[in-house]
Amino acid sequence: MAGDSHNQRLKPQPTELIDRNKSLEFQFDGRRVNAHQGDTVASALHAAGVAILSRGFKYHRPRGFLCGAGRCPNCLVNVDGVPNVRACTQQVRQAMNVRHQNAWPSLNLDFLSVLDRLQWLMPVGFYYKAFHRPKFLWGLAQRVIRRVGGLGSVDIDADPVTTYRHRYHHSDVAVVGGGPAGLAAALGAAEQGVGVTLIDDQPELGGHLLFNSKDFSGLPDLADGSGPEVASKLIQRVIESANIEVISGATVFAQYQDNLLTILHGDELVKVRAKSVVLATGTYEVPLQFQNNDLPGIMLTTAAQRLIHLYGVKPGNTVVVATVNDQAYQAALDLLNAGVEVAAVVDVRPTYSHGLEAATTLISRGVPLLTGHAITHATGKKRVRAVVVASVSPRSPDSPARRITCNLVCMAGGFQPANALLQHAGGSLDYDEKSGEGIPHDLPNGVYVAGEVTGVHDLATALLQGRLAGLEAARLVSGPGSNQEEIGRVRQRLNGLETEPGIIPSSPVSAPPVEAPTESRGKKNFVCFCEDVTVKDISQAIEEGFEDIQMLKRYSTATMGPCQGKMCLKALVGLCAQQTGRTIGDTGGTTARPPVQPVPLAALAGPSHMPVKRTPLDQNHRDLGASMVDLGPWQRAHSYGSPQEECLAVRQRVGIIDVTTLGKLEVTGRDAGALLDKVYTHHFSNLRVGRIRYGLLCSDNGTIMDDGTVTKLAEDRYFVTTTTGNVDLIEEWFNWWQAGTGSCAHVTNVTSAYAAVNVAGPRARDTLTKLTDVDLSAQSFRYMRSAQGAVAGVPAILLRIGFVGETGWEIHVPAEYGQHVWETIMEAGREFGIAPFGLEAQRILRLEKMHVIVGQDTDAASNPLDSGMDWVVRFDKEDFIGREGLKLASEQGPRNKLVGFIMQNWHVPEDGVPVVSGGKPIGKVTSARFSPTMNKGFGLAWVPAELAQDGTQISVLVNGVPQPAQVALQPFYDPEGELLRQ
Amino acid sequence: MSITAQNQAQFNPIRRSAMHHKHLLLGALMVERDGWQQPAHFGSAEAEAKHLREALGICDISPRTKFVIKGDKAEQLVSRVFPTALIPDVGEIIVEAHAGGIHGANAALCRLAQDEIICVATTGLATWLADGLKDDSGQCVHSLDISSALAGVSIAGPQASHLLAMISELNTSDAAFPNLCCAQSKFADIHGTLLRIDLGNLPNYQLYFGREFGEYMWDALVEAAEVCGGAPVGFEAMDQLQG
Repeated sequence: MAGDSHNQRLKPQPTELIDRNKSLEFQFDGRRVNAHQGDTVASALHAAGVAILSRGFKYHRPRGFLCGAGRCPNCLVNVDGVPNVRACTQQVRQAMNVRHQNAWPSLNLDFLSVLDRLQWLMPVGFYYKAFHRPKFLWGLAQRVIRRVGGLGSVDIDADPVTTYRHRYHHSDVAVVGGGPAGLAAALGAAEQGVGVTLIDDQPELGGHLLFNSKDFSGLPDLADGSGPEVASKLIQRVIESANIEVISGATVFAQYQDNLLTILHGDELVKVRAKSVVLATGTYEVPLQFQNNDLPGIMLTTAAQRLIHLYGVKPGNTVVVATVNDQAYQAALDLLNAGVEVAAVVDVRPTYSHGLEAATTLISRGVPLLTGHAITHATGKKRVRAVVVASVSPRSPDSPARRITCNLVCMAGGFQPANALLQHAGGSLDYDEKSGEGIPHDLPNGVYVAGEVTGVHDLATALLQGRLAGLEAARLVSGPGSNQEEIGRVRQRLNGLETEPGIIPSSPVSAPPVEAPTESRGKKNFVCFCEDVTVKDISQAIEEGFEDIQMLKRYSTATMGPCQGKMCLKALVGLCAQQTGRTIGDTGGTTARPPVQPVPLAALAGPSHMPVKRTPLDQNHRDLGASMVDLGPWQRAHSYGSPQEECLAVRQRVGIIDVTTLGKLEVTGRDAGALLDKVYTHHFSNLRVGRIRYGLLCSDNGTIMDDGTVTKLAEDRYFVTTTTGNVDLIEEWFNWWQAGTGSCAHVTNVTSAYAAVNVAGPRARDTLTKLTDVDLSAQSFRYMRSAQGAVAGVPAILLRIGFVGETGWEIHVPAEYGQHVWETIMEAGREFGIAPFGLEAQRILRLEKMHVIVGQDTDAASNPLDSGMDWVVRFDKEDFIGREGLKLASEQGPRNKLVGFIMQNWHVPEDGVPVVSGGKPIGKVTSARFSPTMNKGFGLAWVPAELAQDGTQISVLVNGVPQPAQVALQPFYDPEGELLRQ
Repeated sequence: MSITAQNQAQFNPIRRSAMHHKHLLLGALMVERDGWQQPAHFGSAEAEAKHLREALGICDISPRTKFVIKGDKAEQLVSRVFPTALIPDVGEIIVEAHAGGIHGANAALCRLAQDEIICVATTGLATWLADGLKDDSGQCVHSLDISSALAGVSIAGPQASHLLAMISELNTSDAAFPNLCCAQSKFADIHGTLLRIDLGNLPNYQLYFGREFGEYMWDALVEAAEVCGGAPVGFEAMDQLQG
């Protein structure tokens, strides 16, 4: 807070990332907090003395800074309306508004923390066991649980704070990880002349070297120096390389087939396609298990080092460092140098590594080193105040537990390789007893690994491994033989190093977990910080039989939270092994699946690319006030006000409808007719030029696929229409049956090429005669005939067909003339009372004619014989697709038939309601409407074949009540089709 | 199809591209050119030419003539129309200047597959191409005028490849997709055909896609162009670059 007395800012550090000359200010829960340019929200809050950053998922216990690297759930906050932002990686922006999550009324006073005392109500897997009886309780419990548990919430009323872009990026070699191995890999590949993309999730390259103050010597091709100095030299080389593109502060959250990496980089989701990938993803430091190991003030040693070296913040005043490896001794020294009193270093091992320089220095500066000891529990309410330390095996009465006062605990629980991406890529892991880590075993083609992810914790080895991986990745791009000599040299040096004593740490950096102390009331020992799963929970789950690690994960939910096991997988596997008496290798691990890190759904969605198809007449419909509907990807005019009025206009005067969305195919070539004979149930090779025939397509088993009209425009040219949604499928179907036959037929989808309108009604001829030279008289232009000519000065195909049951023409014109033709027809028809009609009116009109819509009135099991379209099936043809299935169906006879029905009262059923008999469904209404011509409800329905007789009485369910209807087999309107032929 | 001259004159038909309405909303000055309503500019042709030189511009080129030629003998049929042109390999383009013997006219032959060639030509060449590409050889080759079926947008300027990277996985870098290359891919989630035909030293990609997606694609391109510092441009700015 501004002017806060708890200012923990250290004097300037040589490696810090902040610019102390640039001050920023932001709000945290309404209070002003000062920061410097380069600070993260968490570092600024820590500097201001804020210890509690969040509350636990389940028990609402206070949580503070834990990993400092964007892995754990402890610092999730809401930033400017965006929930679940990690405060430890979110850089401060001026005036940003940061709010806590999952606590009420405040972080410091959270009433829901009463749940910490109600653990007995929520044992492991409680949602499978509790609150289920009586039945009503679960609904209530579910709502309560959802409200009090969990993470941040999305404000669905708020404007989107961030709109994410998507970008594709191509690279010869992608290197994931900007630590020493990743830098060496990028340099090694770039030297071979290939393009390299180096991706790192931290704001600055260098990895752990940035905060590793240890002095390194004997490094390959590098002068001796501290971690930051070594990092600086490597980074400089990377910057100078023209072949390396760096993407920093970017999280690779998944790796897919063929080396596709998905990356979240600010407000951009980048999809990188690389020819080869080097994974130098390093490791995650993990916590230790002891009672109250989640108190604020208890953090990882690397987190404390980050605060000191990168942000110039003092992590605490008095620290106890607890460790299972040597690495923590350097951290203790860093803390000491930063002015933190080191109360003790507590090492679970009997001794630290021989000659460990940091240990010697600590001793010389009076720091007690308690080897063979571990923390059993921590005390404190809102921050750690002390820890209790006891001797580990064998427990000796001579060495009683001791209490050490502190306000900071740094944990070094070992390392867990960051191998999730490797698992995504299909790589496998083996547990290495020596390092205590799962290391890569089988690598997929084109994927290389280097550095700590391989279980190596020696800088020289990591650098050589990185270089080797980079060279090999480049070789995959450049081809075999290139850089072979250099690869051999590096491999030789690497082998030399690995056999050199003392290079690989002799003591495991990740010792298996010690037996965790049991929990006592109020003192929980957390394994999974995300889901609040304790050691006791794991033990209980195993006792209940969940011994398999995959099942244990699902039942306990450990590793399933925002950290995805980065903090807890190692402990979970260790505990499982310990309690089931198996080795860690035999226990195995859980499966890593994308995403490695949580990703906002908005980032995955990206810009709103929802492809929408519009006809060339779209604007005309909107100008006329049409209500538009989505029909698949198409936007269509549903109506222009009153569908009933539109129907009457067509029946009494003239109407015009946009039918551009009809699928259209041109089938050409000398064998085009033969192809159509093959795929349709009807004959087409014998169709004369200028004639139209209705066509029905069936699948192999004789069920209906699609329908439409086929027009012969020339001897070797057919114009085929399909239903709106099926054209791509039908094009593919035609090509599939054509392929490999050696015949000459070409199928081209010309749906986009034509705008199409249907002009229909008693005055349609009068309207169109004004616009065309084509003779439209009944004698010259008969029903089911076609012509090509000019309409409104535009070349057109005219088809005389009658889907709506009136004299009419379907007119297809080049799409770019669509608006002109529509506007000209509307003008010409004005004197005849022309009116546009939409989809709804068309549906009513066609229903009056009992014209079937495939997909609406038929389903995947319907065949033409049952659907009343047996007239279109020609068994006299030698062969057609579906013939055998239809033959069989014909022999068996129909069980159900599609019939018309007309209601016997004023009710109008809805589409899909059942036809009932004796209270039981016996059929289904497929389409039903009110007919303005008949003034009654009517439609089409599937009924048992024995009821498919003209005049049969049936019952249709309307609003749950059976209503009488009568079967009709003839069209309701113009049953003889006289109007169509006029 | 033939139109009687009398009928055409009587009705004065106007051709509009699929993006016509979008151009009007952006304040384009629409001018009739080659029988099409086309945007001359969206405010200032000079500013648009600057966009093209320094960032990128997107220009509606739907009026261009487009033919598809399919069949095993597609190459022979095309050679008959373009006797001096070397038919390109798959994924490549040959540009024929003075196509049809008309000064200033051009035609690009893009081979999409062994048996499929697309010809994209100056707007006025439709009739010449239709006549030339009629197969009377009895061989199984088929040509079709698909000018109406495809909308087209030219994406030109130094940032053009950057824009394409925002809407397509196709690698359009100079190394992977140099001048006179063509490919089919997905662009903003719909199928399209991309031709790279540079304007001198200026990268220029012609993207063709189903006309029904015109407005959708235009919106996606304008949105991406803004991120890249580009803007829609009219034919006047494009003409300036083409000299």
